[in-house]
Amino acid sequence: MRCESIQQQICESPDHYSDDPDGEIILQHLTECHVCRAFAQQVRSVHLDLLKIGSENLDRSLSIADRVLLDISEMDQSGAVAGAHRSNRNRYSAPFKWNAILSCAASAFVGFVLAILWMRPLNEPEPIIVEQSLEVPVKNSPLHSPSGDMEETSFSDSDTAAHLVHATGKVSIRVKEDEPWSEVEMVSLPAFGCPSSGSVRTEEGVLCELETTTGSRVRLNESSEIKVHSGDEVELVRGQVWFRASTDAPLRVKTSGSEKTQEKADSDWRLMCHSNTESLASCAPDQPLQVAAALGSVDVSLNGVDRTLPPGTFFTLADGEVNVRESSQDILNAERWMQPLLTLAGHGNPELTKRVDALLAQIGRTKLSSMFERDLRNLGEFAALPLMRFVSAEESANESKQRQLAIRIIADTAPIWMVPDLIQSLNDDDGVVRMESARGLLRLTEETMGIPLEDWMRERDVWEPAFIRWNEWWQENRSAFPVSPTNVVPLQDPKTL
Amino acid sequence: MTDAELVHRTRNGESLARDQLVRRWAPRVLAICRAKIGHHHVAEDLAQETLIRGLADLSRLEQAEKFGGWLRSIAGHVCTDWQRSCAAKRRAIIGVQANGQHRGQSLSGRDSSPANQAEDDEQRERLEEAIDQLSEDLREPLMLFYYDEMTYEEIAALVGVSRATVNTRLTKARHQLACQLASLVELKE
Repeated sequence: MRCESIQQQICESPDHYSDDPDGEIILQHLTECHVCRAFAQQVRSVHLDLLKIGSENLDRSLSIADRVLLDISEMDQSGAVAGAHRSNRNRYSAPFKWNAILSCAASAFVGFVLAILWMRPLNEPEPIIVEQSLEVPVKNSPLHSPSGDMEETSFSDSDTAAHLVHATGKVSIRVKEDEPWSEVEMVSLPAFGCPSSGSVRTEEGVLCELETTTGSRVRLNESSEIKVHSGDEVELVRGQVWFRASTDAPLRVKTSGSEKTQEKADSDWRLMCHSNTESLASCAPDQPLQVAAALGSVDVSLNGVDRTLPPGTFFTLADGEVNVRESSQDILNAERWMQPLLTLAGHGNPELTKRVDALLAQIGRTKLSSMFERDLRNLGEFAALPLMRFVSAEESANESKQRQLAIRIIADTAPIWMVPDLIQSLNDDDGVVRMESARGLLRLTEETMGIPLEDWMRERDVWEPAFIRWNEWWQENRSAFPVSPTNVVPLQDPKTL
Repeated sequence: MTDAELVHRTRNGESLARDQLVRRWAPRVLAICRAKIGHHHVAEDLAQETLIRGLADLSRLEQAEKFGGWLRSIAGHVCTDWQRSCAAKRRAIIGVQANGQHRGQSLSGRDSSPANQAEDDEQRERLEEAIDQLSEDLREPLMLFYYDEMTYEEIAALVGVSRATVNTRLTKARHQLACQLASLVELKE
């Protein structure tokens, strides 16, 4: 096939050209033609970027829909829509009405903020800093007082309801409702205990995770806020939060969102997360309240009426209307924001492995395959180990496409301590896996053992001498390479091959 | 529920049907406006205007099953009106956007360090500029496909062309974007 027709097919199906009847020919051509290979990468990059922009615009269009409906409702209330059609048209035709309204609202908000800044106390409280000490129990850690003097915490051991486990930036806390917010320094995170009735919030771009005293885990997306009533009860004030109830005790969740958005949902809304279940909840002033049962069932109580959501189900409450739908793929999407927190738990984290497996399983089955692939790439070296385990597992032997995708990602993202794993993969039965492994090794070691990458796709007698050289090279050079992180060992030492 | 059913119910005063109709069509109308005039801030305003006009004029729609095409033609009128009357204003708005007021999320999904953010912004801006340079025939199916995940069949029905034409246009659009961006990268290097 000529380059032109190869490029045509890639553009026609950037996600699935390898699945076409000519897929093998295209892949073979890509290994031989660097122009088409570069073109394929460019098309793929454009395709992924467009998907990303598209998903952002879906959010924007929902907000447009809300504005339109709000505008129409106002007109309904004033009788405009029911009345003369022409006058409505004139009224609707006024361009950029919302810009004017938003400008007024923004001006009012800026004025309000300036007024607050102007009137705030001169002695602004210092951030709360918890002294790090291996000997001092966390819950007794002293806090800095606003004046800067050290003082004992304002809550006792028995008051502590949760601890911060991870955060991607500074997290704000408030010990009591009427006290000011203070920032927890990153260094203090492992020692910070949140008292009963204390609040925790994240700003833009910051995620955090807490563990309650009953062993439940709570993760906050950016711009979210919770109030921790006790070890088994949390209140979602705003934003998006993920819950995993402990193995020993359920976790009760209530929202204050319903109280703050009376015009949208005049409802009492609570969740009961049973032991060992995972769920997500989100609430924002102008957005529908939403709950998703990610693992196990979750009970939703709305105005005293209970219903059980099976795993993979979304529950949405908008304008007093309840909508329940099932989509495990959407759950996977909804959990995307947690990925940075998963990587903070380090390599070999079982939850990370589970997510990588789930993402991999979706690739090739849905229209959003590219998004899931992007998620895997965004995990960087943290995805490389679970992906390598997938490639090496006997169970995946029949999943050729998935294995090839996995090894392509590994070749791009594997850290230096995975060199022995990649050498082992050079002996794979699949030529693409061998070639991508060699590409990954080239990236990490700048070595080729004297054969071009394409030769790894050919018959065994072409590449086997290079494979033997790689094993010898490893025995000679292994001491110069960093060992893998604790608890991670190579799947099989190449010397035993 | 089909568009036609939703239109009938909306005319009968069912607010839920009206809401569903608006939510279903908002992404598509935004895609159409974006394809016709480019640049999001303006496209969002025009999409909003289109939907409001569409709802207000719903009684004039003779064949409910042709709601999509009818709304698309309203979007066309709204965009043309705007292009005729606001050329100077448009330039000003685009200038403001280019200065970074309209900053989307990171395309790469990387951390938002200033260096990465700047690179992502640049990458996004280049892509948006490349999209603007496509012909409208190519831009419209591209926007509908990526903004609302419409199928080729749905796009074909809305735009009034065959499925094969949609496929050809999408293929051409991707090809042109890839070539355009690749040449920019080469020039830069």
